[in-house]
Amino acid sequence: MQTRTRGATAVAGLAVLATIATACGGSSSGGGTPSSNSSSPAGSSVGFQKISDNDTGTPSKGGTLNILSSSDTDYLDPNVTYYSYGYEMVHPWSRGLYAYQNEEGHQTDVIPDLATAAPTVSSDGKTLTVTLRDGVFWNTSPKRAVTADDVVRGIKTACNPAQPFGGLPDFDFLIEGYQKFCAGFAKVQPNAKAIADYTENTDLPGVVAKDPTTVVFTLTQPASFFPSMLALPTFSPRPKEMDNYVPASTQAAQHTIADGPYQVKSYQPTKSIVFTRNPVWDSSTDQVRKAWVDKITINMTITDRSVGLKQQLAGTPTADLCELCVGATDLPSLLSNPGLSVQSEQASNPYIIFNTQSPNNNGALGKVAVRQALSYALNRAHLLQVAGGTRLNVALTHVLPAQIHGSKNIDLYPNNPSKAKTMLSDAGVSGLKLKFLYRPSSESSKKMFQVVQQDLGQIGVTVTGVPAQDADFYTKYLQKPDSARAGQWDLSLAGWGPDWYGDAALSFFGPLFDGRILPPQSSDFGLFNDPATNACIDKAKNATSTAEANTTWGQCDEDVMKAAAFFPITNPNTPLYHPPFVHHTVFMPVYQDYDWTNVWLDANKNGG
Amino acid sequence: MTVGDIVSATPVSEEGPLNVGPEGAKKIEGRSPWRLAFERLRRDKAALISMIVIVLIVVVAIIAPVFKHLTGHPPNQQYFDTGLTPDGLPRGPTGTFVLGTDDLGRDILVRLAYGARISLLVGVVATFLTVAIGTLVGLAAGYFGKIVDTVLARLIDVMLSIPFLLFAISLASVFQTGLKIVIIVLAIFGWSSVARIVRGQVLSIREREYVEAARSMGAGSWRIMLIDILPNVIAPIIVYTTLLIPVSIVGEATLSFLGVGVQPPTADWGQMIADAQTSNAVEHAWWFLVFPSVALLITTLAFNIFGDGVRDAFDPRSDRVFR
Repeated sequence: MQTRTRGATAVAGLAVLATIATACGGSSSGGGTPSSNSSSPAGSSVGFQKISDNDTGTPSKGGTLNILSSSDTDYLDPNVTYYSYGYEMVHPWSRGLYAYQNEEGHQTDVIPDLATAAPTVSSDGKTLTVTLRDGVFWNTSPKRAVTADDVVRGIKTACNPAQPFGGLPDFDFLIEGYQKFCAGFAKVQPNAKAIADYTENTDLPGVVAKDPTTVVFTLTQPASFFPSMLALPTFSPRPKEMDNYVPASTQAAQHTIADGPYQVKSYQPTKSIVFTRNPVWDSSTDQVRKAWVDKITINMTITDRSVGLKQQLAGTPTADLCELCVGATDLPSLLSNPGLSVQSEQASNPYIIFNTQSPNNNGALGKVAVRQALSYALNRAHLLQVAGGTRLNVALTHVLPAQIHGSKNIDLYPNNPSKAKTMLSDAGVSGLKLKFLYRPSSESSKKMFQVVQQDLGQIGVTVTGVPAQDADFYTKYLQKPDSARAGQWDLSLAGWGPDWYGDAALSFFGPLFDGRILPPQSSDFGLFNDPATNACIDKAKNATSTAEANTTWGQCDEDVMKAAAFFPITNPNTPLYHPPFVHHTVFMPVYQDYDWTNVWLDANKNGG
Repeated sequence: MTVGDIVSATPVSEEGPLNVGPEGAKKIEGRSPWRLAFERLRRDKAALISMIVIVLIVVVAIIAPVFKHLTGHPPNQQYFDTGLTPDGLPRGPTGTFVLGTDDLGRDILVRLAYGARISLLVGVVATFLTVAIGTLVGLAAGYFGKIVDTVLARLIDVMLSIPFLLFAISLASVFQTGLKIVIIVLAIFGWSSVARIVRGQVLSIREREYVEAARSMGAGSWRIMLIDILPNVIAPIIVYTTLLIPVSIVGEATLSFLGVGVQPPTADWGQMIADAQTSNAVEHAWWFLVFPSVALLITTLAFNIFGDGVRDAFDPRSDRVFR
C-alpha cells in the first residue's frame, strides 16, 4: 500500500497492538509517558512507543474539527484508493463491510461495519457469506437502502479500466472468476458509459448477491487471511448512481454518495475538503464511528508542516489536528507532552533493494554470498540514527514487522565489516562498484545513500549515486524490470506497508518476494526470484489453518533473509500531536492517523 | 572637476590640474590606461578589502587539506558517535567540530574549506569559458557584420530568451549531473551577454583609423580582430569577468541547491545549503545553515565589490574612485 511520507523520514503504516496496551496497563487512555516494550507475540521488539493521554471526560457532541494537511489524497473513491490517506478520507462517508476497531490496543482488530458479523465460512473454506445490516441508507433522494448488489458493483469497479485499484494482486487470484472479469474489463473503453455497461452486464461468479442483504464470496482456494482482507475499503458498496462518472475521476469525487455519518459537502482538489453530517445515517447501525463532531474541514494548503505544529501548540482554533506535522527534531521537546503519540506503523519502510539481476560487476549481486556480505557490511544503527533515531525507527532485521502474524525475530546479519570483507574475497569478488539509485529531493533517501556509501566503502566497495527525479524514480527505474536488467542501478531504497493487518504476511511476501510476478504488477523491484521462496509462499497461502500459515510465513521469512533478498532497516513509528481539547485520539495504523469520526472536542472548543 | 573628466592625454593629479610651467613640466609622466586603472583600483579601499577577502578564500581553498589534517576529519566522513546526537541531530560548534556538524555528522568547517574549491573552480572555469565564447562570438559578429552579424545577433537573442533554470534542470535530467555539466550549463547561458557587449564595442572600433590602416596594409581579418581590436575591448571584458565570477558561483550553488548540480557527498556550498534547508534539523541547528550561507554571501559580495572597483577603475568617468 502506498504510504504517507514525512519530510525527514518516510512514514507509513500501522500501529498499536495488544503488546502496547499491555505495556501501558491495558488502559484505553494509555500511560502518557514514554514506555519501551521489549516483547511482542512474535518475540521481537516493537521499540519505543508512547500513547497520548487525553481520553478522559464525557464526550461532547458538536463542533468543527479543523485539520491541516500539506497534501491531497490519491482518489476520493473507496473502491479505488490505495493510499492510507485515501482510506482516511473515505472513512467518514463511506462504510465498508468490515473496519478496524477504534480502541487503544485493538486498532488492528477487524470488526463488522456494514456486515452484521464475521463472515460464515464453508467447511471447505472456499465459500464465505456476509450478511449486511438493515437500516443503512445512501443519501440519495429519496434515501435508498444499501444492498448486496451495491457490494458486488463496488468489487467489480475495483478493476475498472480507467483507474484500477492498485492492490488487485492481493485478491484477484483468490476470487473465483475475478481475473477473467478484470481481463475483459481491461478491454473496455475507459469512459463512464462503457464502464457502467460492463459492470452491470457482466457476471462475476466469485461475488454474488444472493439476496438484498447477503453477499456470497467464492474463492479459488481456502484463504485464512481473506476475512482480514475484507476490511479493505475497496470492498465497500457502490451505488448505481456512481455509474454516471468515471471511477476515481474528479467528477466522481465531487458527486459522492454517502452511507456513513458524514457526506462530502465540498471538495476542491489539493485545496480543501469539507464533511458535514449525513442526515440519513443512523448511529444505531454503526459500531465503528461515533461521529461526535458536526463538521470536519481539511485545509490541504499548508506548505510547512512545522508551522502547522506550531499552530497546534499555540492552540490555534483552525489547527485542531495537523497531518504528520511532528518531525524527528520536534520529538525531544514534545516527549513529556501528553499530547504526543508515537506508535508503530507495522511496516518495513524504508529497506534497501538489491538488484539481483544486475549485469554490473559480472553479475555479482546475483550471488547470494555477495548480498550476504553486503548485508554484514551495512550498519543498520547508522541508518536508523540519520533517519531520526531509534525512538522513531525501530530496527527491523527480517521481513515481517513484529506485529504481523508469523513474524519471526531473527537477525542473520549483525554488522561485521571484517566478515563481509572475507566473504567477498571468498566469493572471488573484488573492486565491486555499485550504483545507488536515490531521490535527491528526499532528505532520507539522500542521507541513507551517503551512509551506505560510507559503510560499504569500508570494505572496499565503491558506491556511486544515480540521482532520479521523483517522477522518474518508480516509473523510469524501479517499475521497469528492463532498467534493473540493464544495470542502471544496483541498490536502491523503497518502503512497504501492508494492505491489511494481523494475518497480513501475504501482503508482504506476495508483492515483494514472489519472483513469478514482476513490476509493475508487483513491487519485487530487485527481481528476486527464488524457487524455494516461491514454493514457501504457495505453501503458506494454501495453509488450512492460521497457525499453520503463520508457521510457514516464519519459515519464508527466514528463507528470504538467508538469501539476502533485501536489507530491512526499520519498522518506523508515527509521531502525532493533538492539543488538550481534542479527545479520543486513538492512533489507527490503517490511516497513520487518528480516526476523525471518533475524536471529540471540549465543549468550549467545539464552536470553531 | 572630477578625475573622470580627464583622459590620460591630459595628465592630472588627484588635487586638480597639474602645474605645467617650466618646472612642472618635468613632473609630467605618461601613464597608460592600465596603469591609471591600477592606481585608481589601489585607492579604492572597498575593492582592496574585497580583494584581500578573495585572496583569503583562495588560500582557504588551496589549504583545505590542512583543515582536514588539523581536525583529523575528512570532508565526507560521517561521525555517528561524536558528530550526531542519538536522534540524528547535528552537533553544535565545539572544540572537536569548530563550526559544528551537518545532519550526517560531518565537519562543517572542513566541508566549507573543500566547498570553496568547488565554488572557485566553477566560478573561474565557467567564467573563463563564458568569456572566451562570448568574446569570439562578439568579435565575429561586430567585425564581419552583415549576415554574420544578423545570424549571431539573433542567436544571442535566442540564448538570452531561454529560461536558465528550466533549461538547466532539463539538461541535468537528460545527462548525468555533476561538475562538468554545471560548468557547461553556466557557460552556455553566460556567453550571450558577453557577446552582446563585445559586439557593441567592436562595431564602433572597427571603423577607427588604425583598423583601416591595418586593413589597408593587408592584415587578415583574424589578425585585425585579435591584434588590433581585442586589446581595445579588453577593459570591459575584464570588468564583466570580475562580475561574472560571483554570478557563476551563485549559479552553481543554485543548481546544486536544486539537486541538479554537484552530487553528494561532494562538499559544495550550494549542496550544503540545500541539505540544511530541506532538513528538519535546521530549526534546532542554526550552524547547519548559517555557516555555508555566510561563506557564499561573503564570497559573492567580495567578488561583486571587487568587480565594481575594477569597473570604476577602468571607467574614467566614474566618480566613485575615492572611497
